[in-house]
Amino acid sequence: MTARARLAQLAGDRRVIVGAALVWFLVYAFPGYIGWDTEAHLLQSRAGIYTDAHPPLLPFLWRICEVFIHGPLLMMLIQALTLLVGLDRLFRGLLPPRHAAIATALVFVFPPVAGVTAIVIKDAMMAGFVVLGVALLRERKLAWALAWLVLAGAARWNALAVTLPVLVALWPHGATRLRRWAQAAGVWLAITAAAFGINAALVDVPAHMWYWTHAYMDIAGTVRWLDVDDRGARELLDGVPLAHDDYHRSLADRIRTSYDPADYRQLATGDDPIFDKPDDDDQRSAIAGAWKRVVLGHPAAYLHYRWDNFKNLLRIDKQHEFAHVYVWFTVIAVPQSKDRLIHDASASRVQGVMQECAVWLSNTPVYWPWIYFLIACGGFVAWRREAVIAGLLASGLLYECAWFVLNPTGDFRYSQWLVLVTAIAVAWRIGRGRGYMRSSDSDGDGA
Amino acid sequence: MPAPSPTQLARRAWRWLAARSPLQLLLAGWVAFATCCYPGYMSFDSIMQLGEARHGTFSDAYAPLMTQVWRLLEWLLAGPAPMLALQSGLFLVGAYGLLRRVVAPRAAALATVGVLLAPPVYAVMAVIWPDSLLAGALVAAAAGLVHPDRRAKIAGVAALVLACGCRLAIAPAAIPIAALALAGWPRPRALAGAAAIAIACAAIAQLASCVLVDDDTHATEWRLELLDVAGTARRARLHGADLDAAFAGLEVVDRARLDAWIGDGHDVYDAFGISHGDKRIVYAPIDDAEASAVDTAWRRAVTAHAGAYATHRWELFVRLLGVGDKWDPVFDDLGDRDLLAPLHHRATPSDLQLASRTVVRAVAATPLFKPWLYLALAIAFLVYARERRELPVLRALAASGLVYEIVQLVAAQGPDYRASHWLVATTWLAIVGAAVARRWPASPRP
Repeated sequence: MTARARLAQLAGDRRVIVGAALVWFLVYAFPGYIGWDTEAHLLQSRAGIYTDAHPPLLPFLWRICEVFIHGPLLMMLIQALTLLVGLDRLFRGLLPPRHAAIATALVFVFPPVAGVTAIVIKDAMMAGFVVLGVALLRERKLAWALAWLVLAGAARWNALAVTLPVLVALWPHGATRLRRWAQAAGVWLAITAAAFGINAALVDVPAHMWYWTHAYMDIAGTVRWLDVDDRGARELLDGVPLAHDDYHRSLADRIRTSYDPADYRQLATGDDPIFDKPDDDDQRSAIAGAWKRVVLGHPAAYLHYRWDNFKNLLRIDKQHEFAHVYVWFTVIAVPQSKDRLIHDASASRVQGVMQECAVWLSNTPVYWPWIYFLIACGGFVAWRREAVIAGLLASGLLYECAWFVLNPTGDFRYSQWLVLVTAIAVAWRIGRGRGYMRSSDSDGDGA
Repeated sequence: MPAPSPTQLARRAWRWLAARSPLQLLLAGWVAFATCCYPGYMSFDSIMQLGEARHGTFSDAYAPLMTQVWRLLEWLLAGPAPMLALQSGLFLVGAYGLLRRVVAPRAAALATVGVLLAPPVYAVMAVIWPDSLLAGALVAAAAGLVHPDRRAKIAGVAALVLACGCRLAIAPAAIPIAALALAGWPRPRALAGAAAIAIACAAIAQLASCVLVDDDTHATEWRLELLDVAGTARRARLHGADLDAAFAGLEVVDRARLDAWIGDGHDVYDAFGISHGDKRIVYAPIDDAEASAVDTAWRRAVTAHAGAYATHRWELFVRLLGVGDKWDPVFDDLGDRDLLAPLHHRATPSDLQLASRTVVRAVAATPLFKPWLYLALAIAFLVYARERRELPVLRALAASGLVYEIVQLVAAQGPDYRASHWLVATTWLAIVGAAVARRWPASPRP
């Protein structure tokens, strides 16, 4: 056999294609990027004290990983390998072997997908677990599938928006469609409860984070679009702990000035905070009361602010930023992080070039989630007969829509699941070609 | 249902193992090895070498060919991890390729993993050192040279060059390895041919090293020759004018300190301390003229005090074999934090790594970490295997290890365990291979 023929044979080997994708990814990501949340996971894991500020499953998982290897490598490998294996199994059930391998490789290294998988973060962990769970669900390996979906649910609080559509689309039991859906809904409730139960069991110290993050953000964002004076604002915020009272400026004006639809950190931290972090249950009840008064009492203003926020997430008319992809081995701009984590790494030459390319690419339309949103909507309508694709697209859309009320800072990682499922659907459609349909495809009747 | 007995569990485990493919076993072993020492232990030398690899300014102090390989690996993955993967991967692939010739495939894979994870072998393979890469490259070279495929033989020769680039003193030990490629030749011709191959590989490696070096630190002079000059002077109990003559041309730091040092009566085997640090007795050569003066002093010491020189080298060799009270063969540190800070590399040991360190250190307290044991075992193995026609590969390995250890008699730069690592690794491979071959021999080739 000539060298050329051997090369052609290798290029056609499914394992070589998928392996090449993994190597490409590892060169880009090794040994794993570390952001703010990553640092919090790792510090909690090493301290052995878990809070509910982030799903405690992650620090717990990290603790297990650190029995074997310290640092981010194993966590990064877990999220990458679950995604890769999940994609491989999923596409093998939908496409001919070589097409499946190519689709797996392309989706896996697709920059908006790989860019998030490379950072040790709950979004990427959830994505890997869900894809593997969906692939196993499609193969009717229910016990394993449900186990992975429970883990996915525990990796991100709002993964419940992801698991519901895929279960509804792929649950195999039930004589009629209605019964099947009812059973799927029941299973979804059970796995969601199990996921929340796991996290609740792991939590050592409640952080009450909602009160000084989302609640403050909703209150300030809604007040921004209300026509209230200082007295009105103070009445609405009765009992909320204020950082310091500046009698020369009205409270309403200060809230309007600090308005940022895509951030909350300036409200309780920084140079000129408006609120204090709550110290006790009374203050937390006051914040919850104020949230109800402000948000539920002024839905139009709330929706105005949330639309501003959601536009930012989808990158509709969003301005150019430094980077929408994270490519740093320790927390960016925080050199102390190296000492806190006792970890440091540097990029290889090829990796450095890949990082620069990733940063450049993150400011192009490839990173505009609204495009994927539209494709997913169109794809859901056009490909609704293929149960797994319809289920995945529905989960991507529902998960993205859930960010309308949940999104805090507009990070691109929140849209990774939408981008991933859209990429899967598009790869499936291209790989399927005209008229190709496997016999096993007839097992689902659409979502 | 009653709980399975330990015998049943062992049988199940054995059946499970027997169902794994050799590739799976090798990969599992590789992962286990890497997990125990990831991302690779880094001594002062390793850190300096990483710095050179990264900045592209090579010195002769740290095996320039290896530095170049590291620099190439740093194109893809930064830090010591790719070097750890390379040196252990070469060892694993090479050892399997060799053992596969005398042992059944699965048994060969298990034996390979067993040797790699054996603490006396593992302890050095886990550190990023030329000695570790040398072992990996030389085992891979042997596997390539015995392979019938021409490309494998070429790869084997390339690995041989790499091994010679790691330590030039390995060249004589490469002769038994190179002879494997000339298996069908009459013995005298095969030996001559193997010597020619080894000399050619060493010459290429030396030439490549010379080309690569930007900063000549005259490492041979201060690491080996100054050690010999000082050691010989001490053994010859030189003083007064004789001592002046022995150190003529060398830049002595303080004559009184030299007198005290020579007359101290204790042997010092730390080449670095003679010419570096607060307690040094001479300055290290910084240019060709000073290096030439060290050469002259060394020749003078060897010729004028041959007996003292021989005693000094013998004492050093005995220490190298692990005979003596001071013996610390294990290095298991992930690297000095301050030295590594500019290189942006920092790592901490995991629980498993801490446990593996404990195990290795416990084994290091036994004779299993004494090279004299392996010297005796290698000789015994060669006697045992001289009539065994099915073991030429293992014979060559054991002979190579023995030759390298004997070369240390004149080439050792200190009583470091890593200098004996090739002897240890080859003895393990030879004995384990022969033992396993008795129970699970390779099927005869058609």
